[in-house]
Amino acid sequence: MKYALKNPMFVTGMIIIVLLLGSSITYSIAYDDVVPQTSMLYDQDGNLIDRSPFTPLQVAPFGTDKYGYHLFDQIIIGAKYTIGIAFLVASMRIALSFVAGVVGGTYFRRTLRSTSGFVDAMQYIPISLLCYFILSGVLMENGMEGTFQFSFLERMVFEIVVLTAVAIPTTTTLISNETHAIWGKGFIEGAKTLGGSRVHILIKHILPHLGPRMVIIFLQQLINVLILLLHLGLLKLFFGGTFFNPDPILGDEYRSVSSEWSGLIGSTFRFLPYDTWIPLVPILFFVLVIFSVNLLLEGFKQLIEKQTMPRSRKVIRSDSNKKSYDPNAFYFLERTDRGEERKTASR
Amino acid sequence: MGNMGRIGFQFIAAFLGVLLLGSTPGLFNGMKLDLGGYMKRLQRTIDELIYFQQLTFRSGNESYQLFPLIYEYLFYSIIILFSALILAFIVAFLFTYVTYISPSFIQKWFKRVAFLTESFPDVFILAIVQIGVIWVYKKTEVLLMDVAAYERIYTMPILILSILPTFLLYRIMIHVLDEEIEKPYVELARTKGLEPTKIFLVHIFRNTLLSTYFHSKSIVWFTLSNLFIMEYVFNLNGLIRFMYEHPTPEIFTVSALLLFIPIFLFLTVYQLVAERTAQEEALM
Repeated sequence: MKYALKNPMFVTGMIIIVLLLGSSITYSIAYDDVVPQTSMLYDQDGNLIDRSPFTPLQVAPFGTDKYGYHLFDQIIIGAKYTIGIAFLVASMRIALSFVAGVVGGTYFRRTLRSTSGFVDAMQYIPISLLCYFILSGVLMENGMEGTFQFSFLERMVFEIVVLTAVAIPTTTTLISNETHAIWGKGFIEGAKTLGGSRVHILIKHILPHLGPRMVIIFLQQLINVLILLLHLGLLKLFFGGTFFNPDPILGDEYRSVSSEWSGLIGSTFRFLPYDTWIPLVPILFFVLVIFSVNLLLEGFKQLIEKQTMPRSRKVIRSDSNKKSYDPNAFYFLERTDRGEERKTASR
Repeated sequence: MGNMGRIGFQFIAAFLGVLLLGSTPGLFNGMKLDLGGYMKRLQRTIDELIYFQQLTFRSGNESYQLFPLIYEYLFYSIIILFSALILAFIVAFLFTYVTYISPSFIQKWFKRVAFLTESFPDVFILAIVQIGVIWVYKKTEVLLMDVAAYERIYTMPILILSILPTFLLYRIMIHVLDEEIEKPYVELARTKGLEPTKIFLVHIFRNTLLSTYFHSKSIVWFTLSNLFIMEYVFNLNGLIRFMYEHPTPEIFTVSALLLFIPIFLFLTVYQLVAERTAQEEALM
């Protein structure tokens, strides 16, 4: 971890994410998540210049949406939800499939191999479509009655559970394969010969080797969840639920219950041709977060390579780093019995 | 023959898996886990699959026969998917070659750009394309892509879909290239006076083929997800949007199976080709 702070990629990624999360939490403590609204702009004489939505040039820094709510503040408020959910879902995926994968890869290798064929089926269905089918019944507001069937908390828990569950089969297979691969390595054979029990080898040898791989898989899952959220948002399935307001004249309107980013995108994507910035700003923030996770990932990979690879193959031969010393600065001790003792002990 | 048996087993297992997945929407009754409902749903889907010719779908107030109309949707999606993948492979390979022959400071920049693009989600690419199409239209009055058209268009969707897999494949190929170049056989070939281009085309290409195979499933799956979002955003009449618009379990299962079969065949053929060429390499 100490080395991680020296890797520029890792640090940059970390800083961006911490900044976003930190400002988001500070904002909700300081301003209680109230979004400033500018629905009309007047010039100096008090004449109406323009009405919302405003471009980023009119209202800094990112403009406003159709109702005049400032996009920047919405983004900041939404950050903690989007990043938080992605973090939560990815960690749950990893935690569950870590347990299942390690146990499976150690004890039930044969059973897992026969089920991997079924798991393969996941590769032939777009995951966002599958999630949409499962979630739409619960998350969509009933347009006729204007009510949700379930409470906000229930919907949130349900979505997290589903988003976690859809990836469990693939990640479990992945981790069990990794575990199995480590079991096959030479030094495990050595540990076995020396009489290490299975549990001992698992804890002392397998898990430390699995650690770095788990971090990599976790970061990959983080990106995976972010993209999944983005897709679901585009399909008008927003985190925590969607208000659905059928409007035959101006087009149906969907609004997000929380001001989570994918909701901001999904509800405004159709404005892309004329009010480009409204959906583009949250999309760019998605890109930023995915980019910083990628930085973390790449930085971490570099760290591991540095640790496992020999530092450098070149041997530097030069006299310049040989330190010269003055022999007169030393004097030699008589050999004593204590010195002898220490020598034998260390042997 | 062992090969055929293995592939057959894989096919059947994945087929059953798709079948089981197709009924998952029946697993939840509201928010409760409903295993009984799932089994019932599964049984009904299988019953309906046996008489698949009689399946219907609703559009507006009318009811239509699902077969053979669904094939049109299927072919459209599959053609776009495979063309984009093949195009991506070719372009990525060309880029890899260009990287291989260019000096190292350019190589560094290529890699940086590829790393940056890896962070672009498909939605971002689609948004950029849409903005680009409008911009071009405003400037030149040339409509590159008519999003509202009902007829099936090919060129633009294939080009757009191939963008992200290209970068993905490029990253993989560059990684393989870096590993291969260090190997003794490349050094040997070089000392024997073989041209760098020939080494690249004959030897490194084969190994690239094999190692892309290990990633092929996830690449195809990733592209499939992209295809879905593209069909949705651009109103393309493909099978995946059809699934989205007709969210019944039987249509979901049937469409998923129809998608699964050609993709499975495609990957299997690719696997066999890659293994064969890699074997030749081992023999040489």
